[in-house]
Amino acid sequence: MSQWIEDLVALATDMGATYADVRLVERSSELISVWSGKLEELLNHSSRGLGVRVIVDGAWGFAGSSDLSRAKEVVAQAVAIARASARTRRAPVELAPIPVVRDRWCTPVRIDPRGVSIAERVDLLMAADAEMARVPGVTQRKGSMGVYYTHQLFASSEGSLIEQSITECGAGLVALAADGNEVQHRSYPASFQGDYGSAGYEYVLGLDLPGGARQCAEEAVALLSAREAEPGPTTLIIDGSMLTLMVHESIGHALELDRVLGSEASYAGTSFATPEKLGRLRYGSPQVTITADATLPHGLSTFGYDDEGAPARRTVLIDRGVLVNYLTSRETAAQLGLPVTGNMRADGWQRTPLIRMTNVNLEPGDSSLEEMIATTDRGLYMKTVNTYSIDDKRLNFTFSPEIAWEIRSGRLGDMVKNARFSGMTPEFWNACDAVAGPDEWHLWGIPVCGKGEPGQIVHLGHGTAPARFQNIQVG
Amino acid sequence: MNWTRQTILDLLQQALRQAAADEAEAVFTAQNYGLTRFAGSIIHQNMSEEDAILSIRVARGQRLGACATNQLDPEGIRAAVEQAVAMADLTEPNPDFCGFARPAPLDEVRGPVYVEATAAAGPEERADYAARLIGAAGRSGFEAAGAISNGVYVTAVATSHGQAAYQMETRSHGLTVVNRPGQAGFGTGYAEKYGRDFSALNPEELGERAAQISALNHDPEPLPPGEYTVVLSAEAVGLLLYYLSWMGFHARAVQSRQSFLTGRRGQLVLDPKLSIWDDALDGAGYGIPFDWEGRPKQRVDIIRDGIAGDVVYDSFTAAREGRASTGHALSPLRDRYYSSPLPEHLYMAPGTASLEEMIASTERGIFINHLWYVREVHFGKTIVTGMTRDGTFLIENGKITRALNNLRFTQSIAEAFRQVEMVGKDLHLAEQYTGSACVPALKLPRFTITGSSSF
Repeated sequence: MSQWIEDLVALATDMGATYADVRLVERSSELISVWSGKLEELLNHSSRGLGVRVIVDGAWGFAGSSDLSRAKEVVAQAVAIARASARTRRAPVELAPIPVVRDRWCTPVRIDPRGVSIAERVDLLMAADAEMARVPGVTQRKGSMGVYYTHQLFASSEGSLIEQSITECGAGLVALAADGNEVQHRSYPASFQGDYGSAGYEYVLGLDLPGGARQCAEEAVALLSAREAEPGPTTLIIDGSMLTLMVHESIGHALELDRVLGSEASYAGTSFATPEKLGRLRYGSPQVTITADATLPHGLSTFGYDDEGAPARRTVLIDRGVLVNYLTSRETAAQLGLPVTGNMRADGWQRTPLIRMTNVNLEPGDSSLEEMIATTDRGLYMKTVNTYSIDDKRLNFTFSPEIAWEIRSGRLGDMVKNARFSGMTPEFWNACDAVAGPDEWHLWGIPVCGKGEPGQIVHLGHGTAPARFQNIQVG
Repeated sequence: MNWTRQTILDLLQQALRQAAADEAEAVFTAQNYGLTRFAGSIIHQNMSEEDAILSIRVARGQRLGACATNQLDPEGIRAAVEQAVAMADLTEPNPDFCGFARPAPLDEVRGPVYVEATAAAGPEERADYAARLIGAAGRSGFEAAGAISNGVYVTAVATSHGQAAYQMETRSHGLTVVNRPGQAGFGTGYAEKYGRDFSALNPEELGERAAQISALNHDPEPLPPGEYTVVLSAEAVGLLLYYLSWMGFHARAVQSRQSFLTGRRGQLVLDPKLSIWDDALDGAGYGIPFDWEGRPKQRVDIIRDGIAGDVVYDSFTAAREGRASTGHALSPLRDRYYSSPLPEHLYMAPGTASLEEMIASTERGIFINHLWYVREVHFGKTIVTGMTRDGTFLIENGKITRALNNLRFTQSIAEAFRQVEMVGKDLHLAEQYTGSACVPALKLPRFTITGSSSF
């Protein structure tokens, strides 16, 4: 197939493209859901197709089709679309240079999920479900598991030819308790379908679903009779799984350079972190260093090359509180003279790549959860994302955890429910006075992040450790 | 592409015949569409996609297995069917499975679902619309971002019992966010239009409407948190109604006692001015007369004059109560965030007021043009939080007097809909996360603002 897609690239340039890339992508997923002891979803989904991206007359065009017999027509369609785009263009698209490579990359896998029967996977979910079912008061239980395989061939008119095989899997549980007046839920090990990684089935086994199920269910029931969180400013200690979404919403999305430059204005919005702030904006306290790293083992966004052929790399985005870089594409890097960070990713063959987060991480600090609690007089300890909402410049946010505990005089106290906190992005991250160390740092995998029109869902990772924030408004 | 009725039903029969199972169901979904995006008044992303997917579900007794593929050659179909059968053998019986759909007559959607002009439009036509919208906004000094799309969509379901359902339809939409670049203090304005007919999108009107809102949206000021009277655009109402539906209007939420309608049938639960129903056959929306199990979609009156009626069911949730499905199963390929069943064709009854009358009758309140990032805070209490964007204005003495910063609201939707002052006379169609909603603007006396952004 390598020669075939390189021939398609050549056809695109023959038709007038000054740049072209072609991706042949095969993806398959195996999804299992168990609801309250019943296997409700068992779906195997495979998709294969071709995506052609071209620059003609200085403007972009993209076409995708699952009908490979029409590949030449798809190339012609992409060229025609680019010519239509050129009607409104001002300056021609320019691409920052990247190395020309001919390479292969494959996810390191210890236990190939293909060798694990569906029955064995279902048994694991059923065992976890049975543990949740032992807790009186749980009204609904859900366990889910997903395994994803992606095989992709990429060829560009600059001469790159890249083959990648990526394996991802993960799982999660949700216990729900309702008493007619109140509904509460808990997730394990995290919300958003659990925890995922690019790895083999060993990643799922490492989650220990049956081991975490009982506590997850007990906490859901206990929340029904917990007190409401008291409103007012207080100290927050936020666990790593919940911090993933803070990093995601108020830093990761805000630093996608396409949205910073206005490309997403009509849908996801823009960003407060505008280019003149680069190198100057004190985004957070000196405790806050943020990286994007597509080379981390097991990351759900770990790969060899992004979807325009740029090599995976580690980029410091916020260095001890100061904004120092963005997530870029070749086009946006050229616009601002920044490095290409390898963040262009597409949701399958049928979508054009956009700037997406890879594994965007809060780097570990030198504190610990125990120390943070012990040195807090009054506050709340919050776990697991529940609600999240942020404005279209990524400034004003509200987040809530599934569960929280009061902190009184350096100790954890009563469980509280329906806690919610709000704030503005730079104020929040500047209020961070401690981050736990590497021992408590975990790279979480989130298999659902949406962006763009038409919508694209990508898988990504966030490495976090528990952290403390002072004077945050609750309620 | 050859997605005619007979070709597709033959394809489904071919799959069904190969299933070594007691019964089987085959679903075909296909789309051929294009979407042209623009920002900063230039087209920056422009794409087309053609894809067709076969989903096969088989039953061996009450053991179910499913497989989906977009490889529709004989080998691809055979492999998918075999995979589905193999998966069925690995599962435990599902006691809620009561068989795939039996033959049942299907009514047609009341109105055209396929418009040739929409199917025929290509990148040149979309670029032309984008340029006209950009031009309309640009004449007033505004810069436009947005999208124009059009496409053909096919849905078909067949079962081994003989049910055969098919629809080919068109959809299109245009939306824009405009602003005034380089002039400090100017905010954005938003306008959208959805419909089956691409030629009815009227890009100039979209650009001008968004520019008018942006022109008012300058030098915004913050507003203290509190309860305010609000006039919600129909676009904003559509999103809130979708969330209310997701949290309360379906059997799974009622059966798990999460829905605010649990045990409330026949009781007054919302303002008597509100009637809400799901009707796939109303041509004003994006209706398909059958669900993803191939069962006829029934109209379900969820709220009539404020009183709780029925909720929607698929065959599995219906079996738990020993009743029939209302025809509201979701696609087997849905986003996993959404659980079947759900209303996919929501309507809210119109009233008699114009948007201008709602504003003119407001002594002090807020006009909200567009909502953003709405998320549930409390499922059972239908509390959501979200932001306003692209035009939020203070109303004083019946007039819009100034722009406001984008506001955060945290509000129980059911509570807000329990008291409604005025219902708009015009209905607006918009796609939601699953399906569509066709709703009017509303004036609500109490809506809780919990914060504001800095712009």
